[in-house]
Amino acid sequence: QGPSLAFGSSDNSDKPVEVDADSLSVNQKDGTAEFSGNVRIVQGDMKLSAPRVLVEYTEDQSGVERLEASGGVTIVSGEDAAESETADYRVQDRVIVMSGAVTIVQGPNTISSDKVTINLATGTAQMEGRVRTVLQSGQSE
Amino acid sequence: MARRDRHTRIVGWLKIGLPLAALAILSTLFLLSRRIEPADDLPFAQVELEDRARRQQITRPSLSGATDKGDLVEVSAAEVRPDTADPGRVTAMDVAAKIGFADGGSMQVRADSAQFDQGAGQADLSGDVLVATGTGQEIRTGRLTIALDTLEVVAPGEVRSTGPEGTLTAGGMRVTGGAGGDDVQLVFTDGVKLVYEPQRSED
Repeated sequence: QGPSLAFGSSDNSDKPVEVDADSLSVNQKDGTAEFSGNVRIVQGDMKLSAPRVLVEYTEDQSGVERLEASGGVTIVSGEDAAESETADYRVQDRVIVMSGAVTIVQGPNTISSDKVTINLATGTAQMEGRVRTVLQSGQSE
Repeated sequence: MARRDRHTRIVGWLKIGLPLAALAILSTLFLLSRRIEPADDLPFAQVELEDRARRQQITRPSLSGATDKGDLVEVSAAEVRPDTADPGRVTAMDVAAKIGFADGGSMQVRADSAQFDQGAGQADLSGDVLVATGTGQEIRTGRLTIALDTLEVVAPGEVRSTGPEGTLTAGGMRVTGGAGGDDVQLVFTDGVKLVYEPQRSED
């Protein structure tokens, strides 16, 4: 288990998830749905943007289990920001697993690793794999 | 003696009078009763009969067919009227359509009215249009066109939909009929805004 750090604000209330996108297509044969084109997902003060987001429904097709963003994902939550190739947002558990060249920017510091698990309820980010931290020592104006 | 003669005379007259009176009352049952005119009781007024004949109105018609790809279509309406100007066009009221896509998807559509245009091969539905898809979406819009040969469905204006993914509004909607072998897709277009309420977390 790599280091964990605070990410965004902790907020465990079940706020609604709002999604904006250019289009949403629902496959009538197997029922999969995909948002495409400037997809923005907002919940509370967490904003996720990506070009494509696949919707995974719950077992009984009654709700959304996961939102899989791909094609370059940016997440902003409060003061912190994170970027990665893909992000898997498990809506029920309020957890986002970012993978593929993940970098987290907090103020002057950037931390990169292979995989980061952000817990929106507790406001923490758990790093995994090779972690590299670049600390900005004094500000040289 | 005389008193008895008067009695028998009265009874004699009664024996004739009473049956005649009975006969008279009985005859009123048949001879004088109101004559029932069968033609009067039909629910169509004369003017409506002529109107229907002129407009060739059909009540409760339904038609079903299949596309060459194998999708099944069933359309029914409360009332259908051909367009007197152009025989290829038909107007239907209170329309319901059921589409079964060959590759497994299904869709039900209802609308207040529809214009079927054989020439253009298109149905133009309007008035409180509701589309219910096999994948659980219920879509409401004002207007919908269905291409009768490829079953491509297009909602040109704004649509509102509720489904397992939440409630959304979009600038338009299109169902690609799965031409060229790819799956049938229901596509919300021109900007989608969706809100999803996560189920209350039990923990």
